[in-house]
Amino acid sequence: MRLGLQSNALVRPRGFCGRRKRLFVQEALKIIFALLLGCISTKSAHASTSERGDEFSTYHLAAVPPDATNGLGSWIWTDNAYDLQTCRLWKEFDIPHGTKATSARMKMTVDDGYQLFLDGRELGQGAEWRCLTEYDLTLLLSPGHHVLAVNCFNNLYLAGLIMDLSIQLSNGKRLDIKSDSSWRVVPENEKNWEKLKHARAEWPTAAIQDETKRQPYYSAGRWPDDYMRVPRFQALVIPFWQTGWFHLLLASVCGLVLMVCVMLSFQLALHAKEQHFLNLERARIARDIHDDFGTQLTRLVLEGEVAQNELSDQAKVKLHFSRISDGLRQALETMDEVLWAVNPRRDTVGDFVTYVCEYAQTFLQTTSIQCLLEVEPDMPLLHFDLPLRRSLLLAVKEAITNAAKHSGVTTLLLKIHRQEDGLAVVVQDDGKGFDSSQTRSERHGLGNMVQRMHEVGGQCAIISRPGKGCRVEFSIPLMRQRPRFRWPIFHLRTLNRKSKSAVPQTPEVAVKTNLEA
Amino acid sequence: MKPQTIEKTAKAAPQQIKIAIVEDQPDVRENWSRLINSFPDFDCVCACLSGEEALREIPKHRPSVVLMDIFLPRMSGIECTAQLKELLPETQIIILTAMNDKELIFLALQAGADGYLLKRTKPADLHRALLDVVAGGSPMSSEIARRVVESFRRKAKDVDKSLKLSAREEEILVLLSRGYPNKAIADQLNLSVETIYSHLKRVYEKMHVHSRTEAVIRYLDSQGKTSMGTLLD
Repeated sequence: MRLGLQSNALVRPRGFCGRRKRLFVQEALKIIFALLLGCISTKSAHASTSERGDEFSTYHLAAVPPDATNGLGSWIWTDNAYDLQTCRLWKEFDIPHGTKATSARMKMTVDDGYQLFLDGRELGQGAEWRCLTEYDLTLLLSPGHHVLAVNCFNNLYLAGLIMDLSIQLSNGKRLDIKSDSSWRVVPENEKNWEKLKHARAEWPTAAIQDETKRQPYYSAGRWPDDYMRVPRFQALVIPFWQTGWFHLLLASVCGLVLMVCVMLSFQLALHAKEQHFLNLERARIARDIHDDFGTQLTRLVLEGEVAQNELSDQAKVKLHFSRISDGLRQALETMDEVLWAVNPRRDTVGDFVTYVCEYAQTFLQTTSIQCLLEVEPDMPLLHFDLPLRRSLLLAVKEAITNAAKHSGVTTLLLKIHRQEDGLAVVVQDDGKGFDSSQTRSERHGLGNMVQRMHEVGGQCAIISRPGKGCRVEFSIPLMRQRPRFRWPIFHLRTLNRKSKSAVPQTPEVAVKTNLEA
Repeated sequence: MKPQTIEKTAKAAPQQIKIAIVEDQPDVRENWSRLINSFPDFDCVCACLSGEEALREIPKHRPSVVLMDIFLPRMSGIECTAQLKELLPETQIIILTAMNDKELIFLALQAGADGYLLKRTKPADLHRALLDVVAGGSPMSSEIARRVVESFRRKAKDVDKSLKLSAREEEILVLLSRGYPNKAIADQLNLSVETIYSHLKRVYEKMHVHSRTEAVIRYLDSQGKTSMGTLLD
């Protein structure tokens, strides 16, 4: 009997791996979306609280201290100064290892404007040479190599940068960096110059400017006019999620996951296509078996019967003929089962119900057991994949066989009804029963049933007590058949072809339209 | 081709019941008629090879029972059944089918057939089934009973009262669909088995009246799908 039902090696349990893949793709895309959103929002937050914004707003003018100009270096610039000139000045220095800057103050100004960078980080700007600005760099000067880079601009006539950075080290020494001829001028073709760590050998040195020329422009012989203190800079702590390598990592992970998603989607699509071809092929096989094999067998049965009838009294030959006919009948029954498994048209819940009921009744006809049915009317035309219906059928068969063998009853109840999202089949007898909590499940093929149901994601419960009969409950989830997506253009084409061929279609044409749909 | 009228070897007894066969395969057709002629109380009077020929020839013979193959070239057995039933309402039509396909059988029953037999049925069972049909009704399997009840419930709204199932008929059908044998139903309802049969006969008739054309249309539809390669049979 099983022969027929095992012939479905063709069929893959597509329901499960497909579902898992689809879930994975959905979840992964959701997570990627969330990550990207998160990234964008931290990025924008980062931009809005950038280190410059608030600090500029807290600049404040102070009274010019008497020693404002103490320690300042010379005015420096390139060899020649002209109007509307940009000049990039550069100075590198080291804080010795093993020490710490306990205080680092820098006074500076540029005629006419500047943009100040320390180690590539922009610290401030200025646009008035008469105003001296004091920066507190204490927390920024960790031991090691540092670079001061100033992008200067001259508007008119005299040009120059003047500064002094006085650093008090923890070992009691002082480090004084002034504007002098050790500063370098960065050529204009240098890109990302403010982030460079070391000066190139070919960069020229800065030239010291003649201060006497500037004297006439001091107001009342004094300079500077204003003094500005910028609050102490905090060392910049960059959280890991704002670092470049993290973004790169995130992007590559997202890319990888996206690739996997695309691959899985592709596989799913391929699977659906395969499944479609498989169904076509199953239909063809079913048709072939039915048309060629079945018709022929049926003919032979009839031939045998007639031959048997028309033989007068040759009892022995008659017996052989009847054996032939019976054998052929059995072959036809087996074939029916094969067809049931192969035919994709049988992949519905309604058909399963019909088949199980008929099986139970035919099987129990040969026994003295009466089979009663309780079937929920109007079973939905839900899709019921072959692996599921096959496993459920085999399990139910086993339950019925068990009941027929062991229960010793005269009636057996087969109940089939819908559950929330699945199908439930109950085989119930009120016979001898057994203690289901005691019996080892290996006996009576009980374990087999449970195993079968687990394999396809279903459940099997066996409830029995001695003298109280036995109730075997199977339940299996059913997937809702989603409407298949069809490309509108293909759909239209199919419609056209259908309307054109008012005469019955030849199978070849029909199969083609089916493939395109 | 002319219809094949089988020459009988034995003398036709007056009480012999007349049978007609519609089957397109020549050897099968011949074997069926031989088999039927081998029953002493039946006589195969007409064997046709297509639905068109059946509609032409069978009314001339007025047989009691017609055995009808479902798959015939051009006009299908279901279509032929529907038309033949119009011409000969008294004649009982039994559908012959190679495969146990309940959908198709149900369509045939709706089209006017009074019963169905698998082609591989044993001669003894065939004999009994023929006698049953002549006696006034063919038994109904639980599966068919279930479908009948469902189909009547589905169209309960738009059908006039005379075509609805009576309470008793529905009761019988429901019990049948739950797997009870005729005898048990008769006992339970305090009826004779014959009464049960006559109720069933009435059910068949009601089913024919309001679903004959519909069944043919549905059959043609399903044929259309068959040619699309998605259906078998």
